[in-house]
Amino acid sequence: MSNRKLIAAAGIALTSALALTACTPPTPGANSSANAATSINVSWNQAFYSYNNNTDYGNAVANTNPVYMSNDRIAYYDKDLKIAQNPSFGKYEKVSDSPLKVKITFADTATWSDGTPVTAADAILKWASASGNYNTTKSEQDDDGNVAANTGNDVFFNSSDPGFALIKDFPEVSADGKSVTFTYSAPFVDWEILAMDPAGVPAHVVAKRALGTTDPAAANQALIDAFKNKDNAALSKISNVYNNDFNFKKTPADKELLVGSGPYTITDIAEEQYLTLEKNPNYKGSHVPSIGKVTIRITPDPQASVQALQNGEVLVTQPQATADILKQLQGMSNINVLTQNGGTYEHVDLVFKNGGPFDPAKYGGDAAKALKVRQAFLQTIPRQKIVDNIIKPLNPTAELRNSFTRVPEDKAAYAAVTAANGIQATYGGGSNIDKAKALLAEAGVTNPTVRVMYAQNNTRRQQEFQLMQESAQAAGFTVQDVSSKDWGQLLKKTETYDASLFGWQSQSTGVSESIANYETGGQNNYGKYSDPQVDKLLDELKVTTDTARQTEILASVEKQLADDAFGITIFQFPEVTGISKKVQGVSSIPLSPNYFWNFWEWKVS
Amino acid sequence: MARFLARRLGLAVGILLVLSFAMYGLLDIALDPLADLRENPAPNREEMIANRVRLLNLDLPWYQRYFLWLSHFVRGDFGLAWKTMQPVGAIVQSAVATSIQLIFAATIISILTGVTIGLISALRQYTTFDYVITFISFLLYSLPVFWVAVLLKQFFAIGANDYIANPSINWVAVLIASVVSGLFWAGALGGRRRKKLIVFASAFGLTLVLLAALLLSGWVSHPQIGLVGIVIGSLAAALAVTALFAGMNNRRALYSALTAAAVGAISWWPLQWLFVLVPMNWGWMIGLLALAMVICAGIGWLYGGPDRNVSMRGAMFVGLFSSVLVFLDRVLQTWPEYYNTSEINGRPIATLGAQTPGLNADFWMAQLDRATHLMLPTIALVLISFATYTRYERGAMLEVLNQDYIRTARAKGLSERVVIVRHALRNALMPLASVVPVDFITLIGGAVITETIFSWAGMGRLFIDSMTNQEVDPVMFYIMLTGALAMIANLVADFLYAVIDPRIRVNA
Repeated sequence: MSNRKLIAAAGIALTSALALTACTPPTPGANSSANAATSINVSWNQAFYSYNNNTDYGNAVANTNPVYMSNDRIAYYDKDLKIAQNPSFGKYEKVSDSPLKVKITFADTATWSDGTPVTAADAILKWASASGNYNTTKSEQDDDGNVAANTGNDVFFNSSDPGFALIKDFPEVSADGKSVTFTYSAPFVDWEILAMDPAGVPAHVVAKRALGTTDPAAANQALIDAFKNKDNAALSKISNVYNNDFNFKKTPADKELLVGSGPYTITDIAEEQYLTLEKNPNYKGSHVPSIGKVTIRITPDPQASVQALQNGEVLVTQPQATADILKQLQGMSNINVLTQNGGTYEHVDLVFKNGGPFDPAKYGGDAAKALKVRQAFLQTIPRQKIVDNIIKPLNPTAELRNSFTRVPEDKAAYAAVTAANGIQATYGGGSNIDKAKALLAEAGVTNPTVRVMYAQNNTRRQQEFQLMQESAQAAGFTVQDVSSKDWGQLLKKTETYDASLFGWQSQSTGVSESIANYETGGQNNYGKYSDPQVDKLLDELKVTTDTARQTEILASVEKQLADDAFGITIFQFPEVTGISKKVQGVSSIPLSPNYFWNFWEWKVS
Repeated sequence: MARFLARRLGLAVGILLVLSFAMYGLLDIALDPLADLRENPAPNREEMIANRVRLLNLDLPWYQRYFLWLSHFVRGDFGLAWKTMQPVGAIVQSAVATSIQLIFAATIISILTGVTIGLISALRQYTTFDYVITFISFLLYSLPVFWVAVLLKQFFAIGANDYIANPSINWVAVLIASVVSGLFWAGALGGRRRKKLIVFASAFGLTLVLLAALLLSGWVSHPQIGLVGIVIGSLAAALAVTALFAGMNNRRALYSALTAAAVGAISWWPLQWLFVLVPMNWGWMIGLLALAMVICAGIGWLYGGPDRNVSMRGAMFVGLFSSVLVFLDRVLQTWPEYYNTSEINGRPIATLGAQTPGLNADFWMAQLDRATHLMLPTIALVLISFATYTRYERGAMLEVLNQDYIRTARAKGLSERVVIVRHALRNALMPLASVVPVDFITLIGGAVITETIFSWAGMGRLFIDSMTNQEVDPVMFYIMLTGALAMIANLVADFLYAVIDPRIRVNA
């Protein structure tokens, strides 16, 4: 065939092809996404990695939020950090004070997403695993440091809770299996916090995987029996499932691992990218959400999450607060910005027993002299200036925090405690140079040297230190910067510093978590403060379940702390939330689960 | 040869051992696995610390932990990311895949554009064009990626999405773009003033007409290629390929390229049916591309002649190009549906991640989704890395052009095209053999900053996250992997050099 013919053939073919296009070519199949239901994307900075957030390592906000949305609870924190009840899941009541007995009853509407009712077995699993009563070995790791499974009869639940540890006896289970009564061996002040969320991972799933019992009711019974009879062979398997099976970063092949009791169910997890929750069709409770699908996208970079919000890829974000991020958010037209207090507060603690300027030993045991030096130093701390210069740009409504133990959002208790403790009256906004000079003169101490420890790599604390240093030096102190990036390790080594500047993060509104900060020998009492009156009050607090009396005790404790010049609180960390105007009903609370607290009330337009 | 290989591999293992020992020691100083617990006010803190010490053997001195780690590592147990209790082996798989996905396209594009521009720059040495290219490549090279990324997101994602939703034509920008295009082509093609003017005018006019047509027809809101685009594109490719690699005088090559273009365009129609009737995947795509290559090679072979290989190569180039066009055309056909899904909601260009969560997509739409997510990070990476290739290739080409054999070729009376393409270009590409393997291997190490800013969960992110989580094992895995790959890359580069340059022997 000659070339000409070939070209002619090609030409004909091309022409006919063009002609053929007149016949409609097939258009892509219109498989329109059947998912017409509303959906919303929100942003979080860390990826989910464990569905069991009751283990030591699973207990992180990144896990808590999805678990909160996919599991119901008897009570939750509302906007004012008041405990709000959810009777559609169950109720709790204090049956007696001495001994403390708490009865938890699950409602008939409390159901796991596979249809199994939530029962006493679920509460027993959560208590038993965190109580430490059933652990026969200290750890599940072998000598090589590998996560080895518990073998034979070794039982180790990698979970612990000081409150649950006080429940020593096996609880009473009602005949219908819907309620369970726990008896505390000692009164526990925060029993209500424990009772708010009585169920963890589903007991029937754990029992099925550990013991092979497929019928849910039989599985629950097998789990209860194993704990009741301390059947270590069975408990060993149960603890393995409890510790290990729920740790996953992508959608598990076994869907039973995602069984939850809440309004949503986790349906899709892409490692380090996103987690999708869809409405749970078997949910019978009262927190029915209006949004069909919620996707939590992982954006570790605050700037990226803000631009994603502007681009409509996410509708809610809570980036790490900086002045630039806030300015950028406020410059966007279709975004609402919330600025408020977060859950961590900044404070200065003084060291009482290191031979330093705040230790009576330095002045031959003259406690009054040491007290005056402490008071003088605290008077110089420019609290108001720190808030105005560093925090107000991020949270215009920021105020001084004046309580050692209560968060400002817990309004009633905070008001009562701050009215009694005298921090505001004594120190006000700080920078009281004249008062400090007078106190130093009274004490007869000239030019004491104070070594201040804080996180060296934290810019905000560097700025705070600058302000503190200026102010204290004006009053005649010499302030040394002993900051370190290993400040956390060095806190215990009180011989290296005299005052520390750092934050404590509140985990709940419970009162027990602050006890260790102030009692003699308490593990967070780094400055070795010791006062018999405070110890007595804290001992009473540990066994006081009456909230009014708790507040009274805390007020007296704080008064004593302030009088002894233990240290001073400065501010609550600011938190910035950017919310697209397409969503309504989103707000944030300073405690976990932050802006997810009322997810069922979210609406999207 | 075998001895050389054994020596190099033995050396590599030794270096890795020293590297791992030194890094383990440094990491022990840098990381504090107990950091989070120290700030934890929980009453059971001492117990948690004790648990963790036992879990990570923190009671042992670091060199003992190193040997423990090493003994596990060589047995294929890469340790534990203890914060999330995930075995390292499991988490790195998806991270490596993500990194390759992110950087593969960017590396290919930077090599192609960088080499081409560098080449032209060398041919137009010391002209304004050369100076401008030099200036721009140094400018881009010195840009910080985090800043480029933020700007790209602002203009090419947020701005572009706003524009697509509500297009209004900015004629000033169109004119500026057309002038730039005219200047570029006039500079690149060079020649006398008259030729430059003609090139400038035609490039300017063509760009203006093309942009205006695209903007006025609403193409931006509904991008497509269509049969018309495929026909025009394939024919243009046929002409360009022939002009560059065979010369228009080689009629057989011209005809075989044109035939390949025609066949490519014709196959569009039956392929549309195939794409609808059979669910596609990458296996199919590779198979179809291979088929197209075979057909094109056949076309070139049939045209025959003394220079059969040139015809075959030209036809295959054109076939590759029109296959890509057909693929892109089909991907773009899903645009209207993609644009309107509730997950996209009219904001197609993404600033975050590798895919849209929960998108109910078939093969084609998934590719479109991938493209909208890859666009910004790819541009960011290309802008920054293309400068290196430009400078490298410019230098290599200049060196070759000054060689005696080039002068000989010119003296023989060969056309400038043959001198450049056949004699200079091939030798100028040789130094790339030592750069490209190393660059490709570093793909797997990831791009730390780019991945973080665009929220891609690749190796770079894994590294940074593990560092902030105070996890030693994933960081060690990262170091061992990148270390080993770097050595392999160098070895490959040495071999490649020996293969393409007969003057070099590996066992010398």
